Amino acid sequence: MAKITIQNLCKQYKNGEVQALKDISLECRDGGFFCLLGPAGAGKTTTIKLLAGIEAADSGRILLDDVDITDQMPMHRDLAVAFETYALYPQRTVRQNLAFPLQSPLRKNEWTPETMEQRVVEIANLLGIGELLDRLPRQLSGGQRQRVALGRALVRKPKAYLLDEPIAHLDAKLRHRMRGELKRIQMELGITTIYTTPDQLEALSLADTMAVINNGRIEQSGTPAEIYRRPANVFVARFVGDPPMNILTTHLVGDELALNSLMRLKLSEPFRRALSGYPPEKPVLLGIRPKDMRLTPPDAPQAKLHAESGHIQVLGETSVVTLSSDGLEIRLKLATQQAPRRGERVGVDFSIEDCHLFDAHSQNRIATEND
Amino acid sequence: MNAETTQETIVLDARQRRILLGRRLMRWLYYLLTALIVMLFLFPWLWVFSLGFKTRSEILSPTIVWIWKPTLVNFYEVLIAKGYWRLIINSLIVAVSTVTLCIVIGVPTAYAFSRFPIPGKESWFYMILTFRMAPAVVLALPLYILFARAKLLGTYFAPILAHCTFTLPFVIWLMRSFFDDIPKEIDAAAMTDGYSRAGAFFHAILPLVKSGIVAVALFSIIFSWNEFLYGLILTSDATRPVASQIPSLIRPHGTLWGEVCALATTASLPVAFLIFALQRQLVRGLSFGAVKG
Amino acid sequence: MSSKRYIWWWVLPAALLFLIIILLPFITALTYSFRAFSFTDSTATGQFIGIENYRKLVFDQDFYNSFKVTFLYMVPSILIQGALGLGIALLISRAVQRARILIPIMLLPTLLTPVVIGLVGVLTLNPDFGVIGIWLNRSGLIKEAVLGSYKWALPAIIAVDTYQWTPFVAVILTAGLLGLPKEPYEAAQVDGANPVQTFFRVTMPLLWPYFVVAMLIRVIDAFRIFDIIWVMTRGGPGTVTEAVAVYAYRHTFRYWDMGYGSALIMVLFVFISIMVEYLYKALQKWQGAGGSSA
Repeated sequence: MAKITIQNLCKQYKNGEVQALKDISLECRDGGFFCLLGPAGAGKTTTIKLLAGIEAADSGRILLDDVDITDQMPMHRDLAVAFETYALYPQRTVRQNLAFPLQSPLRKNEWTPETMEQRVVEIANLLGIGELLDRLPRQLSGGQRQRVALGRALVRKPKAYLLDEPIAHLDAKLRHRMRGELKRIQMELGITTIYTTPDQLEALSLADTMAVINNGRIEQSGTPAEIYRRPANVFVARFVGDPPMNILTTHLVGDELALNSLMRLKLSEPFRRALSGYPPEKPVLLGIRPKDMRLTPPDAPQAKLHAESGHIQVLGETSVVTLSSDGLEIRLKLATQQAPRRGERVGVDFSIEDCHLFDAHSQNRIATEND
Repeated sequence: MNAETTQETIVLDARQRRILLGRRLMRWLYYLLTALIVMLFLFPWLWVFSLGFKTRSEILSPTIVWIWKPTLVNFYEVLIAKGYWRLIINSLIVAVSTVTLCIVIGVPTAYAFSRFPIPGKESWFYMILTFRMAPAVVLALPLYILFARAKLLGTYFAPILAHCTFTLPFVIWLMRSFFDDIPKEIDAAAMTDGYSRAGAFFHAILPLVKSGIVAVALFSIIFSWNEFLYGLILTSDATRPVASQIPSLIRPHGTLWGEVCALATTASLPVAFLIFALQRQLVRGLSFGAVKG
Repeated sequence: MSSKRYIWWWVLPAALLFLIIILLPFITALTYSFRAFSFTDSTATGQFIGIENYRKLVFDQDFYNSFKVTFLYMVPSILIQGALGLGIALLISRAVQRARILIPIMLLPTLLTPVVIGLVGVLTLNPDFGVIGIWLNRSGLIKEAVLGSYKWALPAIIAVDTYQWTPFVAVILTAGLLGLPKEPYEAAQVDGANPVQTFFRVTMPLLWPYFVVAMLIRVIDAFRIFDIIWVMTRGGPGTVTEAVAVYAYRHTFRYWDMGYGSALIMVLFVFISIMVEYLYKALQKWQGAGGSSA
């Protein structure tokens, strides 16, 4: 168990042509479950590789329990990695793959053949690959291989787990179950875990702290609740939450926000104070989550916006409705039985308290005293 | 079974029968062609082998002597009387030592070339390939001078070291292409699983290139077995490999054809057996991944 | 990373061996190339003569001729061996799958060693008692002794070399064919490709890396050719079959001119190293070309 600290990590590839990581700093507390959330190519895997010691950082430091391990060999770091590409040993059976970390010379005296077999079977059963122990990796499906890769990390009790999109290639139902299992294992063992994923829901449901990474930069870090409630910029606001937050370009007119001629929104006191001194010609981005909006009859007095209902995506209990108004598209999420018909004129109501404001130029959040 | 076949014949019309016949004909043609090619490879060897059992006049007869009384004189003369069976042992000693040495030190080097950021890597690599391409004559003279000074002439070390000049580059070159085909994540996985770089190499990577090593080793043995000039210049009669001694059977009054053939075919058998024993590994090794340059 | 230091342990044994068997001879040859030795001239006792050896080399027509001969031999034999090897591999790979014994059988000609193959060439091409030589004579195709003929000596060497090394190429390509994945073929079948299209669009791109490797091994070895020529013609008649290695042999081991031979070695090293670099880069480009057309 260990605390992991990353300080100002930089990494370039191809002689500087690709800047994979730009000054990354993170901290994961001892026993914490840390999620690194970001789109493909954001730098998640690179971060994992630098942490594991597979690749060397150009600059910056990695601390494990306040000990600098930046230059330490991977084997001495005692971190278990589940690779996104699986990296199974092709000539070894599933059983031999899972036992491989336990056979390391570092753990020579810790395991007897019996306890080893016991542990391998236990992990295999946990991951639902107990029947596949004598198969070779090439005889497995993608999802099965991924579970072996995960099992090879979980089989031992390292200082920390580094899991690189470990359940991305499982089918939806299994992924859901594995998510629960992973959280449970981690809570039970209390082993520090760093987990990367492109799936915001996975990150929100698993992490106790998380960071959003994009283009090799950390956009925001904090607890899932903090990141969801107070996204630091437009990227985080749209990346976290599904469907993505609606972003409307508005202008400050007196103490109101104007969206062309479609809408005039009276600002609440905290927002007004936050925007005092904001240049009036500069647009303000207004963010509102689809789930924070309600439909009203078109002529209802509380309707802040009027629009025409377009595409409706039914997700079971809830539906996502795309509304359009004068070239503007807004999505909102509501109970399926409340969904309008296609082409219907509707009104939209929402509360100013649920809104997020962003600077149009820097894309950063305009903080209020409530933040 | 019987009912089925009769049913089948009833169903077939003339056109289908023609197609079936054509297909059968094609298959026979294919087998015939394959057999022909195999004979093309096999026949000259068998022919040389048969010459070993012929007398000089039978060999030099203007028409091929198809039926003759086989004689073992040539085999006896060259292998026992001249004692050239020892040369086959010499060839084995030289080839096996060379290839073992080159595999043991060449495979880790190839791995280093594949994985580590060696400064000026590609230039070094070209240089190594240059050594492979240099004709034996080019290095034979300086090696002769050098070995003479080191008093290595006439020992097994001389031909073994000389054969390393073309074997080691070959091993490094081909093994590197095998390693390049293995994802680096496998090394990374082993290292995070608690193994050193060397541990990862031995436990995770080497098992993957086992057949590749066999294939490269077999080819290297063939090249070493066939090498002629180094053995001629750098050895004494006691340590000379068999290929280098064959020209001694070309005598001013006429080549001892029967003995050449007897010696050559006998000498090719050990390697043929080796290839036969390891053919599965050879094919697997050669087709492993894509053997890239 | 701290592991950087022991990168050197991985290459150290090979580096040491290269030092002994390549670098030391190379330096030896370099120093000898500026000195005078001669078998015939007793005043040449190894004294320093500057670049005299190099000057002699540059003006020696036989030196240029030896390169011409090497390429005249190399280009056709590589092309023929590549084409034949490919054809044989395509034809035989299915049979090899059932009877693996064909692999060692195919390699038998290669195992007879070039010296013997050359001698067999001498024997069979002899116009008095050689099977092929007599036949060529009687049928009137080639009236003269093949190996003594200015016109036919080199083709004869190419033929013998081809006989020995085509199987080698075929074995590499057969192994390549046996290792090809099945999915592209199934895809081609679904797309309704005919056998010719399948060959050019599926087989060739997949087989290309093997083909290029086999060809590179052959090019490299073809440049080294010595044994077959030495046994069959000793470079003659005249110098029509005197390839680079034979030329070098004549000067170093028959005239025993170690100074001239050493200068030759230096020039050859420079030439080969340039050739290798271009060859290897071209190879990678070809392999890329094969891959991208897949």
